[in-house]
Amino acid sequence: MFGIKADWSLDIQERYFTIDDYEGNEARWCDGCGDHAVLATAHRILRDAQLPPEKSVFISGIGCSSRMPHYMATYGLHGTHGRALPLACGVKSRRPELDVWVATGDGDCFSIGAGHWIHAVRYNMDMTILIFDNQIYGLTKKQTSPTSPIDLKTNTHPEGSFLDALNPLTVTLGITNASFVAQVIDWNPPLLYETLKAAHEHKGTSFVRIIQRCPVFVDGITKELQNDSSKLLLLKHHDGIPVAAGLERLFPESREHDPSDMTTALDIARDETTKGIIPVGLLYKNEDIPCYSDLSALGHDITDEDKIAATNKALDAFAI
Amino acid sequence: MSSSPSLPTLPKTESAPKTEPEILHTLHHFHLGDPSVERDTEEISSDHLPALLNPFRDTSKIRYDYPLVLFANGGESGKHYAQPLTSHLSESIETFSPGKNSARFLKDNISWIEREMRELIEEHNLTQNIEKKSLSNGSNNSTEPLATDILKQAAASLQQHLNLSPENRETLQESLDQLVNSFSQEDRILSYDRYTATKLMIHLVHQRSAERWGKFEKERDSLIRQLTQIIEVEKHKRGDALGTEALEKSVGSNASHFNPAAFSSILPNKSGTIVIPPERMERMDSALKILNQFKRSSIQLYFIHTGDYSVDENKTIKGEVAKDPCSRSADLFDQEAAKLSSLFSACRIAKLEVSNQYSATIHDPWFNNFGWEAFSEQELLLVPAIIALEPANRLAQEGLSSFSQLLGSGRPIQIMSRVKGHANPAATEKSSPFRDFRLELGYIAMAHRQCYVAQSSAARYQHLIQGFIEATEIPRTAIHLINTGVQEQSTIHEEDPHLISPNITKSKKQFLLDPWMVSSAALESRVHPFFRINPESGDTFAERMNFSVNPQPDRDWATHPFSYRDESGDVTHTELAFTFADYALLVPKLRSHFRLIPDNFESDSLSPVAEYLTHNETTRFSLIPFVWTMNRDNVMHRAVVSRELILACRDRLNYWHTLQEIAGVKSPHIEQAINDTTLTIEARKNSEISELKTVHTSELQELQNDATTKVMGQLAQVLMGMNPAAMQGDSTSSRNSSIPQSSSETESSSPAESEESATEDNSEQSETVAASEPAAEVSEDPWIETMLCTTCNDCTNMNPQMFVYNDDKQAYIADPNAGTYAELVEAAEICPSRCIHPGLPLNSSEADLDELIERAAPFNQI
Repeated sequence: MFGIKADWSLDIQERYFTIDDYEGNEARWCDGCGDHAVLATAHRILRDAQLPPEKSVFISGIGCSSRMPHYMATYGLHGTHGRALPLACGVKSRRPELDVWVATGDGDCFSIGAGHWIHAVRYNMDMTILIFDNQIYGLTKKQTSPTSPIDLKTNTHPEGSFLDALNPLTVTLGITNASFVAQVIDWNPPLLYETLKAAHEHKGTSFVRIIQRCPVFVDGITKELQNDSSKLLLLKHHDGIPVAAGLERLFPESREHDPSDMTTALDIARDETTKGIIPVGLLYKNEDIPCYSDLSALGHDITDEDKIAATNKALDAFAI
Repeated sequence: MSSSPSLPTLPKTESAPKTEPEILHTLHHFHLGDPSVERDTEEISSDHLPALLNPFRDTSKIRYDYPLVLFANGGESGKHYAQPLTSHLSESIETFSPGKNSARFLKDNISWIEREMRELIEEHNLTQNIEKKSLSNGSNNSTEPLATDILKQAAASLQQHLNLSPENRETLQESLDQLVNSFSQEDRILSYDRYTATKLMIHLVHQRSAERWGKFEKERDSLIRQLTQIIEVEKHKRGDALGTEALEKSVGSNASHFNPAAFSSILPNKSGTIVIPPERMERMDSALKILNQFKRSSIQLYFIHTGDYSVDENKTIKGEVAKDPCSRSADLFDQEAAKLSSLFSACRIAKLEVSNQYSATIHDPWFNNFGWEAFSEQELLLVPAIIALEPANRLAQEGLSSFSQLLGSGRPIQIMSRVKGHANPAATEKSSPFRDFRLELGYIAMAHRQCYVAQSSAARYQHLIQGFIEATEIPRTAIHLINTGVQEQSTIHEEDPHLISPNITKSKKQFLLDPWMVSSAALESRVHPFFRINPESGDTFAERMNFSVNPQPDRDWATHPFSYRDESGDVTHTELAFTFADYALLVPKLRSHFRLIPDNFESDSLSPVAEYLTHNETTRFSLIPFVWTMNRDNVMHRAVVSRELILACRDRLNYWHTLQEIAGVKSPHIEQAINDTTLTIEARKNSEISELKTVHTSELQELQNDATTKVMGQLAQVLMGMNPAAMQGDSTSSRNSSIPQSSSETESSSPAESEESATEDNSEQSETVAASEPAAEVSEDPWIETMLCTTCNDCTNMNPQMFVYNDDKQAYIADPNAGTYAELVEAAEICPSRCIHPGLPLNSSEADLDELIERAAPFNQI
């Protein structure tokens, strides 16, 4: 029309960000640790979205994973053990315009923080939760975590752990208002990127469990998966995580799964415990669930004068 | 995260829709041209644009064809003569760094560079204009800025703007330098204005004339060589070569030791028996002299105009002011052609002489009257180009006769004329543009049948250049009718907020819509339809006419989808036509033909212009035509259109229909013919069908009868105890009867042989299958599947020279020679994502290679 092509808009970004603009302190995780992959992916996602660094907040609890805010040049909060999620909910409640990310681990989230986990998922505030699940307490040098496999010999269970591993997927899917549940492995960066990108773009709480390597304490668990990827089940769907051409060859097992189908999602999640088949991809997504942050943020822009006036008015009710 | 531009809205009205007959009455009377109701109506302000054009108010936020890059050596290198800056930039980057992730810093900021370049160009043109004005030499066109200059400046300010880390800065600078190198030193950048088409024409003629003369000079040199040879031979024959002087000359510097006179006296003084007659000798001599002495005039282009444009004269271009450019061009052409006629006749004589075909009785009179009419096509194109720039008003009025004469004469002169979209060139400045039926210069030119006609505009530079190329390629008079869209600046005060768009912060305040946009709208609204007629292509309009580029050429008006939000916030999708009435909104002079319809007024009588025009006289009587307009606040309004403007719409539509018919896009003749043929075919088909049906029914009946008797017969036989197997045998033998025929073709090979050959074939096939199956590919060079790198730092810690992170912080091998093969193998072994492939050792003198190669093997398999 009028000699103007479809891409007619000459969009100009006044500020331009490179990876450097998102890089904080030098990462001090062990060489070969899967956390590096998650960090680099987060950098790339922010760069590709060209988000101003001061508009993002990374919030963590305690653990290897929770060092992440130090390595981001965004705002960040390194909280207390298990409290990453309530802190993040607090931030989102009063600063709804910020882009909130949570970096937490299998200990921080599934053990000491389990109560908060349930309520944060139920609140469905718009944030991205990265669970660095290495199935061990790494920072304190190898103690059993809730997701450690049975019979794993650790410093707390030298003869091998007694219990079956907790299944975070069935738990999360079972929580009311769960709106985005995905699982991914850290050693496939393109898939990790696409998964975190989808999680970041989703409005609501995006729960992403990242099965992650700890080459120092439990090298064997993930080595086994890396050597034999037939235990992984790639979930494919046009509404799911896009899988780049050529990546599928790394997954001998795959299936179609509609992420709006909760019943099948629960079956797939349960198979991880009962059959040892580890799903990779988007299990469930529902964009229609309301976000508590939309409600909790109401009135956050009221001026101090208005607040004082409102308080005075309320107090006047008690005038003698 | 992208914010889509908000949809236009309908105005919010407080009161309920009004349907008062008074309003209807006023609108109707305005439409009919009753001046008494004008004070009861609301005029439209200058920020009202046709609704479809609203998104493009501010052209600085739009990617479009301007500015253009003019390639200095376009024709020679086989490239185009010009290309939009936008596409040249993106295509260049894609050539030197293809793919999404390469040259990322540059690709992410290419829009920034483009905007910066546009601003710099605008600044350049502005300062040039001021300089020219202060020099007051009347020159109103400027030299176009050099592309590399502008790009270098933009690149520098991008670096400053981004303020990247030193490393990234260097990466960006590398790609910027590559981008600069994609332009040649002399490439210039052309912006859109009144003179764009003229400048493009000059650019093109200049390049092409150089190409043509280059060819001709080569031909001339070869003729000179051949003629000289003939004359030399003849001199030898005459014995001149054995004379004292010639001998002395041929000996050279040692001639003093030698007596040429004595030598000459003993040599035979004549050889050969046939001597060239002196007339022929003279002819050749004079031809050779002309060929040798000819110096090409340095002027390649004459530009004749009435004084409203002054070219930048230089050695090759000469401008001239004339009262009647058409007739002056014709005279000038005759003069220039006369200058060249002796050269061309000399060339032709030389050619004839070389092949000894000159016959005095035939050729002498021909060459005595050798004028431009006798020039060959090639020769005509060597005459310096002459461009006559004529105002459309002059061509349509006092200049009509000399214009017509020139078109009929066939002199290869390019006439250029800028035509206004809305005005009748035959009308005077003061009279209403719609008073008479519009005179179509293109149609008049078409009537001359043998000249090239192009109606185009610089808003579609490809169409325009194509027209220029075609017209300058053929030895015919050509007329180019060009619409520029440039309008006189309105007299709004400088301090006023910009009426078209409050966001425009251009240094040059332009209170009207961008001329490129106006010109595009002229094409879109059938005000200035594009066409080219090339008489060289054939004798019929079907061969001659090119009707490309016109939007939706088979319809009356081009229509486009349009969405808006109504009062309740719901989105409505509809289609709007872009008519001549919509175009008229862009012309300040014509705003008086519109009046706003009150926002809350509703009536069935209101009808959009395109629809209104389809009604016949009786049904349209009660209707009031309107157009959708939008003001700068993104709110939609309706404006009633005067009857005078509607009549003009009809006039435009009439010319459009004429062109459609000439172009064969929509021809009533063809439609009629198709209709007739369809009817005939239908009728024939129907009769055939009914015939076949009767045949079919009768055959069916026959078969049914047959089958019944057969079945009954067989049934009776079976029941009577006959052997059913025998019956089957019968049927198989009859079925096999066709087999011998097909086997006879392969008679030569016995069954055994054919079986053997079949197995051979099979084994061969399986072999080829095995060969084509990818044998485990092993790359000899070490490489990293970068996409799979998890940024764990293992390899980069081991050897930071060999393993390096890219922009995405994923590793690649920067220099395979920066470390040992042992390191590569070890890195591959410790790499947690197993994406390092060590390949084969590059240095064969390394220790323990056999063991290392063995260790590397599993990592080289993919």
